[in-house]
Amino acid sequence: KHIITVNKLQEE
Amino acid sequence: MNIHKFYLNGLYIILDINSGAVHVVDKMVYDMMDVFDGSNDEAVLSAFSGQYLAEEVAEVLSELHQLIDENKLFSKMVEVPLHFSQKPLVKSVCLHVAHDCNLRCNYCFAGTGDFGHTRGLMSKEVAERAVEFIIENSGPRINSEIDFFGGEPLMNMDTVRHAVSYIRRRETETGKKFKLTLTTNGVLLNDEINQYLNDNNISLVLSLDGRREVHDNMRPFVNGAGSYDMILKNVTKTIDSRNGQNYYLRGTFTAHNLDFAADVLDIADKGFTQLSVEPVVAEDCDYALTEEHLPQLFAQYDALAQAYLERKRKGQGFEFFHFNLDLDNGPCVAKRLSGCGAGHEYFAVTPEGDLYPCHQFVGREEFLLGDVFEGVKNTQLPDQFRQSHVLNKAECRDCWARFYCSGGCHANADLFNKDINIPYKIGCELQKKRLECALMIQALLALESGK
Repeated sequence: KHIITVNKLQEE
Repeated sequence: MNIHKFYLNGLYIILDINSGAVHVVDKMVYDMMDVFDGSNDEAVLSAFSGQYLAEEVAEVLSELHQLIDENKLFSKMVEVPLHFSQKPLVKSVCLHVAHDCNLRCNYCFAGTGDFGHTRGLMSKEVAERAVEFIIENSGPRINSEIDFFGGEPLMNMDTVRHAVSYIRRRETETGKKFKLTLTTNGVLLNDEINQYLNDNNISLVLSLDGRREVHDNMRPFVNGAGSYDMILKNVTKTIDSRNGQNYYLRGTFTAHNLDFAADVLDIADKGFTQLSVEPVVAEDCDYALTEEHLPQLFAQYDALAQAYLERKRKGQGFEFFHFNLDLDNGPCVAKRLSGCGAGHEYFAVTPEGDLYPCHQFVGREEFLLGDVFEGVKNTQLPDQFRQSHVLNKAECRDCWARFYCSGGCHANADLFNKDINIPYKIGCELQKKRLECALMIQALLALESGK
């Protein structure tokens, strides 16, 4: 309700 | 430092530095992150119990712990990948085909074309050897890049044409692929050259500083007359000839136009869509940028970000180099460490064939690395450049922007601090401001698209 993660570093 | 939080354009944003996750949060979460460290729920409940309902605080803590479990908050420090080879491969060269120029730009780092030495043109033989230098030192890499640079490269089209023909032949013989670009002030562009550049798929970087008075103030001809009218006419024709593709209009702003957002928008108003302006790098002169200028420059980036979004929503958008940020993919860690690759993956070649870490270092004799005939003879400097990455530089290792800026410009660090490991402070501050704008823009566009 309070946080929106807008995207989906470890992952030539 | 594991997170960076900032408020911009109505958005509370938290960046998890080591994962790259971008969170848009409410004011409550934003405030709580001043206290929350991942394991101190009781302290958070105590600190905010008078301000928010206990159930709400508990709700936020639950969401935060879920992000921690998903490695999207307080994620672990990224270390140098084991596959970050100690032996770099050459990926690109900057061919200085002309150390001469037909403009006398006041801020030119190249000493108005001659790089502090005699004016001269690159021979066809040196150009061929530079191509062989890449082929011989790029190992299994397939893709390489060559930028025709100067001075003004169009002053030596004979060598440019010869080099392009040679490159295309060697591509067929070796299986390598070369991406070609050419950086020009636009003075000599004409229909015949446009056709040649288009036919050979050569990307262009075209210099235009913005409004007429701004451009003419800094980019006069040899006789002192302003170059704006000719350049605008020429680049318009060139860009039209390539259907508005495969180019960047690049300007420089100085202390003489601290309202540089107006220059970007002036260029955009003329229908150009691939834009970039960069801060001048200079000291002890009337156009140099200083720390006192930073608040005004920050406000200009904010204004530019607003205009960028407004025009995009109206279908009249333009691309601004520093606002292009891929939040979902982006470069790999190794690439983020090696950055521009100057001095170990990227080299500049002078008209005589000498090798320097990049075009900005040309003329700084202590950085001479060798030449295209005998290769890199200074074996210490390339290793120093390769090891001068964000995880090895004290000021970068703890900086929130480390995986986006890749440590800043080595040449500027050397110019201002006489040490490639100590970044140029004004450059850092401007970079961080641009990144906040870019993160805000990309977060807002993602929210608006319902992603």
